[in-house]
Amino acid sequence: MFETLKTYLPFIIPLLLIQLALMGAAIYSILHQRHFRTGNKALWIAVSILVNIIGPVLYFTLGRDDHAGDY
Amino acid sequence: MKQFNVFLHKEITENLRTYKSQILIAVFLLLGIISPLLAKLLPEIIGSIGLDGLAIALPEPTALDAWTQFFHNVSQMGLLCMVILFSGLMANELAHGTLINLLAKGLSRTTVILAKFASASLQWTLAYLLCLGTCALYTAFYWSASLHHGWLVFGGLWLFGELLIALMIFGGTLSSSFYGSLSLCAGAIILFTLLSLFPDAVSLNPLSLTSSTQALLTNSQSITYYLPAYGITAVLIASFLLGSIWLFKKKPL
Amino acid sequence: MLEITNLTKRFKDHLVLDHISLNVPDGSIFGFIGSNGAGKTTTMKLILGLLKADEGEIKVNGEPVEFGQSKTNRNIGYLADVPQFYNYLNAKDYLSLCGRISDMPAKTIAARSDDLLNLVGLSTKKRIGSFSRGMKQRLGVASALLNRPKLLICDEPTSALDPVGRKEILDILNQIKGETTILFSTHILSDVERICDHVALLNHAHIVLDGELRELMEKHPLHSKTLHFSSPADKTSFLSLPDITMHYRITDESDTSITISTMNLESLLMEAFQ
Repeated sequence: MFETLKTYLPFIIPLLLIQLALMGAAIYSILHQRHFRTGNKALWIAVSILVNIIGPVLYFTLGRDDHAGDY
Repeated sequence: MKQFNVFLHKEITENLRTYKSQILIAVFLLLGIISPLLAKLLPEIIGSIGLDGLAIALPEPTALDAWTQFFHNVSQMGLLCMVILFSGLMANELAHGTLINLLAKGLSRTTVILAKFASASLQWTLAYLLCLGTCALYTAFYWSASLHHGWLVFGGLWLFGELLIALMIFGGTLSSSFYGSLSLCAGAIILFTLLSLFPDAVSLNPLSLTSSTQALLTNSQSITYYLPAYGITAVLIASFLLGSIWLFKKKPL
Repeated sequence: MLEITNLTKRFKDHLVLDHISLNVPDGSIFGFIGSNGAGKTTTMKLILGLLKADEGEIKVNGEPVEFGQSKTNRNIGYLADVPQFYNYLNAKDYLSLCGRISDMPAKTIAARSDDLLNLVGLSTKKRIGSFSRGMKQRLGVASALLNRPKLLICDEPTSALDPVGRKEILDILNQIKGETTILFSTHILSDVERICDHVALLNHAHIVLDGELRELMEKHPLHSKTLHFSSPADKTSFLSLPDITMHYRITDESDTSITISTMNLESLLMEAFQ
């Protein structure tokens, strides 16, 4: 098992880093946002944490209201 | 030229501050990592399903599998993400009226179209190169194989992305709406798909730029066969840009 | 400064402007009055080349305006009725963007934006997305004035604002009187008489009234009201209110009464007693 994991470590580490960066950016933005195009704060925090990678991307494309002008 | 630079700078700031660039880069970086990973994992996944008693000879994954995955993922997931992120490029500004003040300041309408195209192209090119570079690094690390046609094989998908950007700008200028822009892209892809039903038209169809990669990778078709499609795509990009400029100049705001 | 001759504009079958002619003299504050939907915004967009005229000619500073081109706009500052900005920029970023578009040198932009942001009272570093409507209107004034335009066009700058916001905008316009020619559209008559010296009234696609405000006021004595005070002291204290004598034409009648030229006495008194 550990051997298999080791083989894929070069893939897993960068994937994890990108996932964490996306999640961090999404949560930072959600906490500073007052209006959402769809959904609400709690929903987007849950989605960003629970759904790997796609969660934050969905938030930035569908949830974040560019014209509310927050961060 | 000065106005072009100023407006391009505004576009880039906009994409950074609304996180569009970062998302695009992150998605393409992911695709660059996932493609070789999938190529490597696929035989193991199939193996683990464990069809009892049936011994399937699973071929060892090769660099070719990684690049097949790369083109598959970028031409679908990647282009879809780009279209969703950039469909508002022209449409949002027209719908919200944010350009009026700048046009009243003497900003030329031609500059608006060209700078928007340049900014989207820049981001698409950067994201694509990053994805390509990542995938190439992994591929070189796990397998050693040189590609038929060298780097030329990557040009088609890149040019097709540029065509989608030009289409989005045209659709946005025409309809002033995000969905108008999105539907024009979808419409064009449906049209190209229908066109690909005619085998005679394959060498002319812009969609061949993305669907021909398998044939190029396996060297079953020469790149010159697809040259007309490249030419037509380039002409389409130029026409949609000129069309957008012409349309925008005639558009009451 | 601005000459409009025989300007005609139709939207489908609806005739919005029917051969209107207008002359805005240099240095004037020109009130362009009309009810909502009378065609004021259309006229202004035609001047900016944002709409295509069906007939007629517009000249800004002697140069003809062409639709879709923005060459003549370098002499113009425009304040839209509901100005729209990029929410991800702050006020200073936005002015810098405008300044660079009109090809101003970087140093001038920095100095001029500081001055203007002071003038309109927007010294915040917050992004525009969090601005109130009044703040956006004031940023609009600042961006319109940035390149010291020869002609400032304001489309209903006060109508969407509360009384405090209205007063702020009118005060700003009053301060820049003399520096630039101002064309100012509104349907609020008391705003016109507070700051304008020339007026034109647009009604049913025609200009029905056009001229200097003072002359028009004298010709139409309906707009004069006589005020009676209980003592000469009351009259003196009323006249010593800062805004009164500055903005209104007042004639003495007797020790305890005056005649005041205004179309809207109530709002004047409201302001006076505030």
